[in-house]
Amino acid sequence: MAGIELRNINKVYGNRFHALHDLNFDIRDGEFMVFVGPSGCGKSTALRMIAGLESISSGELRIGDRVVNHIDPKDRDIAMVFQSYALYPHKTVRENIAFPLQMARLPTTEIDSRVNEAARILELTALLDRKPALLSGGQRQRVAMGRAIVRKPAAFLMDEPLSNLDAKLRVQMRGEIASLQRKLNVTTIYVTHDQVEAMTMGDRVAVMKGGVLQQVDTPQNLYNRPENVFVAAFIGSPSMNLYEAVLNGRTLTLGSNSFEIPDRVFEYRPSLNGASNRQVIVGFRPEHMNDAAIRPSSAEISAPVTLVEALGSESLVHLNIDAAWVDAGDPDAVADIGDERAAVARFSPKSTVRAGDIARIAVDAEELHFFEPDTRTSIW
Amino acid sequence: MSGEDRFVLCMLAPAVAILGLLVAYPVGLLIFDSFFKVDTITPNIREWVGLQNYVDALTSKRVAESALRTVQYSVFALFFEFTFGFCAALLFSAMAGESRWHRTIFALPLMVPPIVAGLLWRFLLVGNIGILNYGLVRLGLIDDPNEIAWLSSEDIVIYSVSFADIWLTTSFVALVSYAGLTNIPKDLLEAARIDGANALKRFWHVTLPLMRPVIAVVVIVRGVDAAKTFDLIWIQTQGGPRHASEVFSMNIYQRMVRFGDLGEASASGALFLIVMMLLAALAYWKIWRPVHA
Amino acid sequence: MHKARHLNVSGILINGAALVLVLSYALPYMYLLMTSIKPAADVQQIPPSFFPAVLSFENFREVLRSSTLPKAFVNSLTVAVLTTALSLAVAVPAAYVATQYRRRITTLFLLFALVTRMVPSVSLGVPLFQLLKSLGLLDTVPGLVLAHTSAAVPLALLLMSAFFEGMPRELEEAARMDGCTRFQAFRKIVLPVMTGGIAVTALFTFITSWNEFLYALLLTSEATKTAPIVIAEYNSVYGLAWGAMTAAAVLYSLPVIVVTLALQKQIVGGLTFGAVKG
Ligand SMILES: Nc1ncnc2c1ncn2[C@@H]1O[C@H](COP(=O)(O)OP(=O)(O)OP(=O)(O)O)[C@@H](O)[C@H]1O
Ligand SMILES: [Mg+2]
Repeated sequence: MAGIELRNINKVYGNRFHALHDLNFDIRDGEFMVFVGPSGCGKSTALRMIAGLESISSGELRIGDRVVNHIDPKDRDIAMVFQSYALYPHKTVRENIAFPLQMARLPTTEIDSRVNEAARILELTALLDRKPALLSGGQRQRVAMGRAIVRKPAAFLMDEPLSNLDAKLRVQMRGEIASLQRKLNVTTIYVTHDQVEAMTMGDRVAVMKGGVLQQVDTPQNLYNRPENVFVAAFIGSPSMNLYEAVLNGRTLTLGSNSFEIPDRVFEYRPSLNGASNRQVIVGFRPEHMNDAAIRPSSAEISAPVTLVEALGSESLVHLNIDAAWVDAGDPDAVADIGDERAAVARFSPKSTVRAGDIARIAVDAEELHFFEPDTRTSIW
Repeated sequence: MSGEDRFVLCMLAPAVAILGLLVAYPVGLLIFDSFFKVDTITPNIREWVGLQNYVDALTSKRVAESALRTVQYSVFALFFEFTFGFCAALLFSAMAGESRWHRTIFALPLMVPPIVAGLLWRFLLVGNIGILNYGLVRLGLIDDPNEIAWLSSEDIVIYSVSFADIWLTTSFVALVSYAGLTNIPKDLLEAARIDGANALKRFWHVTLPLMRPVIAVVVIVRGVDAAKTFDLIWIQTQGGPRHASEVFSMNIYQRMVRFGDLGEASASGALFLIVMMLLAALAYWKIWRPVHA
Repeated sequence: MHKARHLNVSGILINGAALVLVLSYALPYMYLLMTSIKPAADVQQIPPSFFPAVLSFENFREVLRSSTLPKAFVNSLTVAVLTTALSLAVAVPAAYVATQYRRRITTLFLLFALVTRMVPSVSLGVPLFQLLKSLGLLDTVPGLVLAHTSAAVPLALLLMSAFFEGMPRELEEAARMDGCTRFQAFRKIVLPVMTGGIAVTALFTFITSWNEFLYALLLTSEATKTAPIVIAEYNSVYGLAWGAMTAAAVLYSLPVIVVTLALQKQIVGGLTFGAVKG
């Protein structure tokens, strides 16, 4: 078991494509770290560099106390679970799981007992003599896990291990992997582009974009204290609404609406104090907007409703806010329905607003987020 | 050098060495020899003659005739192989899943050694006992089994010897085309049908354009093979009667073995090589590339 | 539904045409088989008959009793087996890195192999004769093996590249994560996974060598004559010994046909995606 340190790691591919820029962070011993980010942001690249399958262009990578930049994957003492599982098709489940131990030249009795133990943990005992072709998707996934855990490596690396499963199985395996990791207490890096997986599984989550690390933090902190506009919009679903606004003293002007910001906000964002005519980007999450007709508040705005998606447990209300919309820069973000510039509010199903109405919206002003318009970083 | 590069080189090296020794070096030797007058029958004659061998080859009537025959043979064989093979593939794909046994039996000639195919067709065509003519009499196409002297008439022999080639490789064309046809997305054809295209129009506007790369591969591979043919014709006629079926490769062989004229054989061999490369490159540029551009 | 399809007119036409086509292509070889089991005297009867009047293995007995043909078969087999082994030994690793570790040099290499397939064997035969003569390998098994290898390696490279193209790269990576060096991953995982493709390629290289005629004609004289040379010689030596010739031709071609028919499915796959003729 060991921690992993990345120091100014860069990756430039053979075609001169600069895939990773100055990656810098630590993964603590026993920690469950998740890499998340839009497609093509370099998650797999980073993972494969840690695995040793991809060379490191510059920087320093440490596993435990060793610098491993030039060490072969086989000597790094790490195990990997691939998206396609990469089970050896000509070997049975037992032989698949035993293979890494055979390569390590363990005695046969030791191999047998370890394979049986891993199979028991993963409930594969009845399948040990089958070939992978005869297994279901979920079973294959477990065999891939078995091949990884049987070695008791210093770290597990997993690249979207659940993306080939159907939704229900994915939820189940998500829980199983997380609890297995807690039980074995092995440092784990888990790549996904599913933010629900990221938020529920990770001790900490590293958010990446365009080969640049945006923020590494606990899921709670990513949600509550995003450090920039991208992280703010990327974490949470539906996304945080982001608009340009002007702050004057304690009054925030958002398009044609104005309201007062409570004192608490200025306590944890002291640099907002004494603002006069200050341009900011303001962010508010859909869950922090309510129908003022049901739950009035001191900070209220009004906006025309363009669309209402009634989901039963809640209603997603699309609003046309007359302030300048801010593009968070997530290439994967496409409005499923309606205009991407529309603000989305999460109303109680009791709300009676309908498309075409002018709705009064109560904003939970203590939960507002503020960012600098030029650097797009959070204002504290 | 990284470990990865070392690995790539180690794995590649034996094949590079083999191809270097057995292909690149001989080709070099071929070109080198083509500038000398070498006599293998009376040894130790080896003198530099510059381009004289090429001049001789290009002005020789027998060389020119054999080159022309190679073209006649290749075009004739390729045309029929392609027509029969493509029709067979269309038939098989029209039969959908029921063509498995047909394809299996049809593929049979593909496994027959060229020497056997040549012998067999010689046996079918040869005067007096060739069963083909008796069959034609039976069908009422000719009156006398000796009416057509397939292999001994100088006018037709170059075409007669290609029957064996056609028989031997139609199935290659058919199988490759069939694979190409089955890869055409069904919904494209159905969309065309909904747009009101009849079977002929669908074939012309959908099937044929999509089959272009497959057709290109078949034409290149088969065209080159037909032009290189030696064994099939050799076993049937040895180039006779009176050189009437002597193709270019056979001409080179004769000059090498019978006349021991290594220099001139090398010059012709080099010319042959260059022409084949040019043809293949041309076919590649004209037929294959436009589809992939 | 199914019945109705069988009964429609175009269906009958298509099936009929296919049957005629297939039969007309199968007939010549059938005739060869039929002729080989006729008594030698009946082979050249006028007019010829398709089926034998009496069954006789006289022709087979004659060719097997002669000393040349059995020896030629042994030569052919030896040369083909060695050619296959040598070609696979060099082509399989090369095709593997050429497809899985793509870079400029491997692409150039594959292109070179492709171009090599266009070289007329007679152009190569002339200098190969020189080369083998200077190495003292004319009319020897190793000499002929080398010549056949020059034709078999490009074929094996193209076929194996097509097979490796379909293999996921992760298999090798998983093996390396499990503690293998690149060589071990190749030997312990990649090769066993690819046995099907290797077998098909082996069959094709074997057939290439087994069928080869021109190099054998140029590069052998007495000691290492292969089967096709001996069969071709029935022409001159025995005049027109059609009976013996058909029997020898059947012995020479039937084993390959039987094996290929048995492996039909894999072979057609190999053929069509390599788009190459053996
Ligand atoms: N071998 C390569 N050569 C050149 N560029 C590459 C190579 N592999 C990946 N890239 C590029 O590097 C970038 C990062 O790729 P990577 O596979 O790490 O993304 P990812 O975050 O895992 O995306 P996804 O969620 O789609 O898996 C992409 O823009 C990709 O096109
Ligand atoms: Mg990825």
